Amino acid sequence: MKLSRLTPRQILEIDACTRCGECLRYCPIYIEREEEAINPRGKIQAIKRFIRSQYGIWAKIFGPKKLSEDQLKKFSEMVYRCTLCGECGMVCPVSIHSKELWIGLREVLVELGYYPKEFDTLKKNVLTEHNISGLDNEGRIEWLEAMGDLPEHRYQKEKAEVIYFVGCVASYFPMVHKIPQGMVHIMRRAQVDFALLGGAEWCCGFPLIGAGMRKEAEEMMAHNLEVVRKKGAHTAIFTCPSCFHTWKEEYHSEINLFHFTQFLLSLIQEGKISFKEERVKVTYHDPCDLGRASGLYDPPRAILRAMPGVELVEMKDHGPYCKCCGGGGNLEMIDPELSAALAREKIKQIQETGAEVVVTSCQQCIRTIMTTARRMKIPIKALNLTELVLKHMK
Amino acid sequence: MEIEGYQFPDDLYYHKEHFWAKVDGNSVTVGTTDFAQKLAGEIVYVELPSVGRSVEQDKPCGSMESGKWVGRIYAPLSGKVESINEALEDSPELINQSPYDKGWMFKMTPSKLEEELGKLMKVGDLEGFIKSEMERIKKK
Repeated sequence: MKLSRLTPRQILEIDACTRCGECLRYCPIYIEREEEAINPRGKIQAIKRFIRSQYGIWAKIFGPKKLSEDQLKKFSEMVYRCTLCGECGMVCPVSIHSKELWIGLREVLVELGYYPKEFDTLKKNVLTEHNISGLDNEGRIEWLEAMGDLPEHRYQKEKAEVIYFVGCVASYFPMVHKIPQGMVHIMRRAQVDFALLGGAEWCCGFPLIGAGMRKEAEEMMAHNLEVVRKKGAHTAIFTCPSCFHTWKEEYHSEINLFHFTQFLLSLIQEGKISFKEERVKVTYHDPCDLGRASGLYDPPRAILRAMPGVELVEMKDHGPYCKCCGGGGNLEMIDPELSAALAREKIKQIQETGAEVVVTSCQQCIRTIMTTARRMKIPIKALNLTELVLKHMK
Repeated sequence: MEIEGYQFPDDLYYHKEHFWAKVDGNSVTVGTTDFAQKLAGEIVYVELPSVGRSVEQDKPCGSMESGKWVGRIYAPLSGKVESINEALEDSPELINQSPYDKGWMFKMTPSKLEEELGKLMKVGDLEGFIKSEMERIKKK
């Protein structure tokens, strides 16, 4: 097993794990399945054994032990059964950056050829069509056509100060088309000069990075950066927390990057958005890539506080401890049952609050929660914050 | 008629993107086939064309999703959408349970019926087509 995909810090982190088991109390996968093999501690112990068998004292004397196909398959299953929610790393007493470690291990496994075959389709879709759906990339703005009453430029202007980067899921999956539609309505009413990239927008690269295919994501990132720069934009805004986080961590650009919750909050503070009073009891679900990954817990709550009549009731686990909805880390592609089990736990916590609506700031969380709720015939209502803002706007 | 384990009623016209059209005088009912619904898996959301909208043969006019898959709804014929199956909003799984009956998608008034029907397939034309589609999907 080659470890070239892991950084020296990650090798040290693997060694630093004391097996204390603090991560087990928080890992949503372990809470659900209670299998040592797929919890964070179990994964680190497995990689430790691999490293010893390849580079330990006995390996130095007798040569590295050949890893069997079965061992690698099992290890691959362990590493990919994870939503990359990052809660294990946040609570780790010895500060192991576990989410980055899991991605590094996925890169090692991709190099060895031991990864879920579903990712070949994902890779093909992204590299050939430049989006996760595999549909024609020119169809990225079909959600816009359904809006009606559009200006002639259809927001695909040559130049604009602000670019709205929509992301693949909200562009293609009809369940969440209301998010970009709502965002466009809000910006229009707040008189923001913005443009869409249309067919020139490519996947941000996040699904490939999460699959362990970072090298393939580089082409996507270079392209997106180039088209945004060509528009002369100084700011890019995102409704997708994963696109936002990927741009922030991987793109290394001079462009000002804002998640829509930050952007709308500043519009509220500038008086460009105001609200009518409407009574509703809501709870808020923190998306992993917005909360734990990007540290944005307050902007969405500040928006909710600014809306008269909106009462926020927190879930048992919220903020940094908010449980993943099950939709992260490409888990739905490889183990839909496990992903749904996590969503069922989330729905339970939502119901316990007695809220009429669960509000979130991520399209994938909406899809995961609503799909599971429908299957279970539970009549809960999940709204993206853009939808709630638009509904309550004066 | 059954082809490779998929059901295809005899009285329908079939579009190459796996949608069916049932012609009843000057009204056409549209839905997706048993083959497509099985391939897609459990449908969790459908976006249908709005009532009054004009649709064009072979052009997308809506979309549907299931888990990690999303696909477009293609109009098998040109015309104006007269009504949509509102039950699909709350129960999109009707497409899986009853693709040719309760899972219908929309009804339309065709504008070029005679001219366009010739481009659709009848059940007798389907066997080779479905087999080639299965091969194509296997290679993907």
